[in-house]
Amino acid sequence: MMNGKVKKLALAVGVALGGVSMVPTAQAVSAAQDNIGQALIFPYYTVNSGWMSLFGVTNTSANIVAVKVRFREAYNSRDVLDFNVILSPHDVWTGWVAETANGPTIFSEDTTCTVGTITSSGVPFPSPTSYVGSAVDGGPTTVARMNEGYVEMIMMGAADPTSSTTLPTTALARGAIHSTTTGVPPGCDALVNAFQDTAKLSQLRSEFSVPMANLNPLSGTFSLVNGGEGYSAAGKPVALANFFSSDATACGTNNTFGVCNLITLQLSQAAAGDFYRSWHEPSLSAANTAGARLATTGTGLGAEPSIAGTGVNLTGAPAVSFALAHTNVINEWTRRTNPAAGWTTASDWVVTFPTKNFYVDNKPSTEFAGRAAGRANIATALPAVTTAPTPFAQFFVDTVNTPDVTTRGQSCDSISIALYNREEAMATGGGFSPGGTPQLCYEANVLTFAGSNILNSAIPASVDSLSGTFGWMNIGFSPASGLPAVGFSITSRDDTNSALLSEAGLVEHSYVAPTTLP
Amino acid sequence: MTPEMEGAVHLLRCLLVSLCVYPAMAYTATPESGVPAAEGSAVAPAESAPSDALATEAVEAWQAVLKQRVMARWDALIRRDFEAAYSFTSPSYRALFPLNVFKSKFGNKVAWRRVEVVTIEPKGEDAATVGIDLHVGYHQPQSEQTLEMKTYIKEPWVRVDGQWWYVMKD
Repeated sequence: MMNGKVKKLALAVGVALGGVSMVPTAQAVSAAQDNIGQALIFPYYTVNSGWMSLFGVTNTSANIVAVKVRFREAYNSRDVLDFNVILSPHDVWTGWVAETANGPTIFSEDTTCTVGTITSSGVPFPSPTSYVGSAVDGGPTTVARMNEGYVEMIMMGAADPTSSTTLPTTALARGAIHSTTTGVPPGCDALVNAFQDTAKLSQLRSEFSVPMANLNPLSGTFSLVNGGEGYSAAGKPVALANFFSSDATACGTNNTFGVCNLITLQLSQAAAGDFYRSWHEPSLSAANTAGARLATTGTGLGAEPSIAGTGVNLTGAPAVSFALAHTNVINEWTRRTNPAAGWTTASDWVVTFPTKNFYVDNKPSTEFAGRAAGRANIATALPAVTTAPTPFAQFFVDTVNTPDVTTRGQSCDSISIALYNREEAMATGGGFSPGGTPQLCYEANVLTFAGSNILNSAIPASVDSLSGTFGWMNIGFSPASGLPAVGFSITSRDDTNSALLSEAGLVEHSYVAPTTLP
Repeated sequence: MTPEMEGAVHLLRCLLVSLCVYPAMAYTATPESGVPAAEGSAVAPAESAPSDALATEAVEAWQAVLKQRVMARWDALIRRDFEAAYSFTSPSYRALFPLNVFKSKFGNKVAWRRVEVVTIEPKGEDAATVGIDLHVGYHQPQSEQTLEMKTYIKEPWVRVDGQWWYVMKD
């Protein structure tokens, strides 16, 4: 299914690309204006100090849709939990994560088929694997590192539930459709087994072979709920439309998966080295379309430039980065208290860089790294690493600039801060902590105001010199071509007055798009 | 009071709370293991069997008192009896923050159901971190679905003048 505005955007991008690109398709990955697409980016999850994070994904199409769900920790986007959700036509899957004595745990009361199985009594995240042992990156090696981060949901393929008598049959996929008598998908066990059996991979790819070009079925929601303090706030993920195309040309130039969809298996960790049949992919580097975004100047659309000397557009992580690039992030803040009246307000901002790991996590020998050697589309889609992980400023793991691997445990980008109150008064970034210089050092960053930290993040940065008690702020990124960022502001108001109930609210950021191409 | 003055007063109060309350917990800031220690696991081994038994009895005694205090505080919160719950906060907190400020820290978007004490981790002689499973009901407006959820929370408690008190975050 494709909504009107996205379709217009895709067509217009095709026109825009026509003069500069060899990509002969109208499809280009973009941040969907109507919040519906092939991939969803949920900017933040947390289980810290009573917070619980709830997620929902809706399949708005008449197809059976297989979705990869991946939780990435906040420091360096290492994969800490992933599974597949097989959505039947018009189906919704919901689940949530919360802390237990065993660490972060995922729960679901939903009957939708998942690979692996998730229950209402909870399944703990696997023990840390992706950032310990030979995979260390300088960040913490504790279970608590998994307590916050962000989530990506990527459509892997779609199956036609009516194709029972014509090839390809969808016998396995149709097992995901809920029984009208029992209310559960009768073929879920077979699907679970198939997604863990290398002998079934070709059948799965064949069944989920509905062309993905212009098929944008996914919509999502999320909620952050603080169980101990009784607050909640809800938002929508960023949707990437036209992330992947099954047309022959797009697949011909980027046919990593053999069959033109993104179906992978959900093998056990013992088989993790096989990138393109295992749970490592698809990731946000799996886009096989060029990036596009609405421009703030000119005729309305900006198109990604081609690789120098080739005329071919970048795909993969650079395409997604292009679609999400902003030079400025804008939102409101508040830090106000009136003890006599019994109320307090506080804001935290989340700024997440969901493709940053494909630039800064440069440890090819580690299969969990963004730039793992096994991730073949990184080598073809990203410019070669030189002295800096452009557009980002600093490697998280650096195997380029020193004889030995440097594992920093952070990767910092300087930012500018223009902090206003509501009557034009301005402060410019003074009193930033830690370090004094405004910078964002992680992949999912929590920015607090005078130490607000209502999200109880373990890695907050704080704007300490405030221009009053409420207003708005403009974060500027250093690269003229911007940085790929998503996020929101969450504000709580504590109040004992029965007319003004204690509450929290969540507002997605506003952005300024770059006028300079990468 | 102007908004700017309100902010200044608030920050001053936060600083005072940090000075008054958190020093007691400062030495507990060890790297997070992520997996809580088993109940009483931080107790040092005794040299002989009789003293070992005495030490165990002593630990069990204070942990039982602490557990009772934790449960009683949550019983009050579940009843939404905030005045009773306030009485469990540390004396230094109550010296700085009145009841209405305490009450303002709680929203009504979840229904607290029940609490189980899962772990008690001693932090020296007079402090402990209590891990609880808090069971809540949450009505998700997007889906019109009421979910029965639980979250594991580590609560800081301190012992002052022989009594255990909850260290309230502000």
